[in-house]
Amino acid sequence: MKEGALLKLLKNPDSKDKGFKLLVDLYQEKIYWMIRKIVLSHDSANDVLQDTYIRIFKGIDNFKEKSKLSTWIYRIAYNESIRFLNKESKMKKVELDSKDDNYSRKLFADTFFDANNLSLKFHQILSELSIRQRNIFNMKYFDELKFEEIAKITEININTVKSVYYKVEKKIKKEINESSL
Amino acid sequence: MNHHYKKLGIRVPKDYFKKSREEIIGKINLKEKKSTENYNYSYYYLSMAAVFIGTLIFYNFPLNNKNLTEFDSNSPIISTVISGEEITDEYIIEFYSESVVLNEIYFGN
Repeated sequence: MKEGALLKLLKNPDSKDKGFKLLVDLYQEKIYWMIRKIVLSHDSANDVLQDTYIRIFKGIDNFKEKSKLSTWIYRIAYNESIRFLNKESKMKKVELDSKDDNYSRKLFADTFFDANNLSLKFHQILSELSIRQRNIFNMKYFDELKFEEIAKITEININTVKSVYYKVEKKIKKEINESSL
Repeated sequence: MNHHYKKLGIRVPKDYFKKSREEIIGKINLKEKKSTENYNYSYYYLSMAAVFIGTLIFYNFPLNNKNLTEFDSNSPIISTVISGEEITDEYIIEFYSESVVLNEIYFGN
């Protein structure tokens, strides 16, 4: 279904429910995986996913169509995930340019994480990145979003997004190749 | 899913997305229902308040008018405006003496 048609359903009070169900079907998995890679545990990702959809439902009438619907949805999911990290850290606002000190603890505490050689290597490299670098890399590499979309979602200049991604990609390739030798 | 599992080792519980879909839609419906109920409640209370205020106005309006008229006629200042006489100490004393006399006659009856 095209975004325009979906948006029409969502903006009409008589078809809003139908449109919303379609929206859940279309984006649920994609949003979940994006959130999961930010908050790491399945339970947290589940909570954030539900909050995201509630926010989307409440806000859809005010969506001004300045961006693609999917970008707007990803942006809400991203903001909700960061809000969750801030709430989780309790003491202070999470610094996106610093590393997540609890990365490994959160990952290994999750029942729905199965470690294997490749995943451990990936996570080891990802845990050494800042939260912002990690999010940019994940959005491009795993979620297959365009640089332009990532820039809008994270509110970072597109050139910075590109340079961060290529730098991280190079590092990961190098380290994985070295470890497999 | 495979992409994420193969490289990151992260997975979801069995039938998670199916269950999650129902949960999300359920939550939204619940919120919708609650907000409709709230709207109905506020509509009910607003109607009740309107009826109450309407009743108060209906019963008080003639009374207020009566009070205003009584006040007008009992005030020496208003009286001078109506009669065109000058306000003097003598006029005020005479006005109140007359009122007292009238009241005495009234209560005497």
